[in-house]
Amino acid sequence: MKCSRCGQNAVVALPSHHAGFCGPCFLLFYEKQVRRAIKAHRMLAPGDCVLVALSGGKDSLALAHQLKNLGYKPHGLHVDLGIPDSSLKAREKVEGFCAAEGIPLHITEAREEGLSIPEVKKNVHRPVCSVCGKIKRYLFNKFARNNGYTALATGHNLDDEAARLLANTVRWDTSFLRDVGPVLEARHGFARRIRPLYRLTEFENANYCFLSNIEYNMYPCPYSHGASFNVYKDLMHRLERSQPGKKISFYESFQKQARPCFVRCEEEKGLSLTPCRKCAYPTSEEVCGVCRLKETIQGK
Amino acid sequence: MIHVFLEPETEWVTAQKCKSVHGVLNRLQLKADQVLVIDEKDCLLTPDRLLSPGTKIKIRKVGSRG
Repeated sequence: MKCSRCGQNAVVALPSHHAGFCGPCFLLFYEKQVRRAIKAHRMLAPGDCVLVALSGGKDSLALAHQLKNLGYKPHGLHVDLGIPDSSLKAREKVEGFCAAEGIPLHITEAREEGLSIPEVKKNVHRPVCSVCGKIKRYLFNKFARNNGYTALATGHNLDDEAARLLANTVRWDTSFLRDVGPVLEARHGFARRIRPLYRLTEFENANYCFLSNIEYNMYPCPYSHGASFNVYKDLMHRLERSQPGKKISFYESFQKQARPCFVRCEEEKGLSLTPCRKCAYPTSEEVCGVCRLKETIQGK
Repeated sequence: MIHVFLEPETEWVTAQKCKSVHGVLNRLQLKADQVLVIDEKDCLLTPDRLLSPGTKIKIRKVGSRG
């Protein structure tokens, strides 16, 4: 296979784009996709203070690296989940990456917040992945709001986004469907959230890391086995293989044609949010889900 | 025979009677959009690349599972 751009030997094949690229041309392609996402959705403006949620995986490290290359000055935030062995490996990758790239890094320890994931796992009677996601969103939001960041960037990729859209469509969950998008504006105490990698797959992010010499944590979370989200990801992969380009068209068509309806629907009929009585995080109840979880763990 | 080092499992396996990356992936029931295939010179290989008998490659799974 030859590079679609320069004719040299290709090292990355991208059937969804009917293209193959050599290393340097793939990096240009990747940069173009991120630029396009940022510009099309007005994700960042000059002077924006952007906080990148860094898990230590390929997506978040690729995002921070690319944002820096584009001239932004990202800061990183890593949440140490306190999972034996696994969290230490992830943290080491994030620390090594930020030190090498000169990206200021902040670390929040879930344990210090009374929310270490092993403790949480003992106290919930449902898959811990959704609870873990809720805790991370809570801690990222809290840090971004308390420290004046104008945007919180996450490494959600096209596979994550398309699978989430499919999962929420299967449930017709209107409040979640309202929030499936590349930008979530600041509202009701939520920081502004952006997803600059929404046009890129996890395969493309892994290639980017390899070609940019970014070492990432490739070991799966020991608690993630059997997560239902993976079923939706696999379904989308199968669809993409039989109909290349379907994943992005599913997601982008939703943004243009359906999401505005869900936004209106939630404005009219959705639950109203008020600050949590304990921590001021936006919630539809008196006390937010994370504070209720803390109370359960503390046995109150 | 092609010698394959799998990541993140960190284990060696072999694939018999394969002449290309595509053949190895099929034999190991892996999908090209879910792995990086890396040769001994640390270069990425596309699925159409031919492989000589005895070649050693690394296959790195890229799908995040949680």
